[in-house]
Amino acid sequence: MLAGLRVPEEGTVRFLPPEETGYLPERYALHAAQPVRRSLEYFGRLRGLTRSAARERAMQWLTRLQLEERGRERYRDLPAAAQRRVAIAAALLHAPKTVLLDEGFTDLDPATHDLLREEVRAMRAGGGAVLLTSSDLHADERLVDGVVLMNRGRAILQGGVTELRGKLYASGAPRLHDLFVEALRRDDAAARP
Amino acid sequence: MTRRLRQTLAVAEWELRRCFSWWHWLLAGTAVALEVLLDDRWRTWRITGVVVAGTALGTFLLLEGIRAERRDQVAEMMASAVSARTLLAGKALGTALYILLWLSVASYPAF
Repeated sequence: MLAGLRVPEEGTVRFLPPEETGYLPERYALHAAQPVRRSLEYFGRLRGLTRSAARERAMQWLTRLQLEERGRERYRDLPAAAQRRVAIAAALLHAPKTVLLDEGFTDLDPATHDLLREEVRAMRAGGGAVLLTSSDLHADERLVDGVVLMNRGRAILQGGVTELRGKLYASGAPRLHDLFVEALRRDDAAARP
Repeated sequence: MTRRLRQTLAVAEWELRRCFSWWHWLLAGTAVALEVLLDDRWRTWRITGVVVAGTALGTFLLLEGIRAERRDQVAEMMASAVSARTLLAGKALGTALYILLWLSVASYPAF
């Protein structure tokens, strides 16, 4: 719903227009048979950039990803790690104010992980918002301001990282990860008949 | 220019470029060869052939493009950037321009 893919059955979801939002799905992909640079330009234009701006940003990103030599290659011909980097570029090319990263840090090589972390930090510093979903409970505490832990479609734990750290002492959990696991265990136990 | 119109034109341009695949050049090459090889007795068939081939190819490439977006799993990224209606309008416009190009080629012998 936050990515604008589904209409809510009830209630409302408010989000910025496509020009100001970015989305990296869990199953990311660009057009397999098309040159990478052209695909990036296309996504830039769909997100509101002019033709020249989209071209410029695509080149900047390819240079940054050290893929400037491979811009004419088809997406499917790139190695998996490079495909992931290009998909990240497609989501962030237009410098959005809000970004939804669905399992954004999952299965990234170290260089791409660092790159994305830097991007998230830069967005935060610039007043942007990043919504990161992850099934990995080892959340990067230095990267996030707030956490919502979901189980069976419901939020069972939420709050700022500082606030949650306060709960650590009450729960006796040594790490934030253990607090999450404990919350999930209790929720599952409460749901059992 | 409104956002929707800009997006429609971007999709149409993408589709139009995509239509110039090897399928296009194969058919266009065949059409040119027939133009050279066949004399005026075959003119009606020639024109009909180019019109039918262009229309069929444009329609095939449109449907193949939609299928490829689903197969390549790019549909989700597309759907977050552009509404389904705008996407369809852009695809239809791009394909219509492509078919028009074939029609103009086919009508060339009439001038």
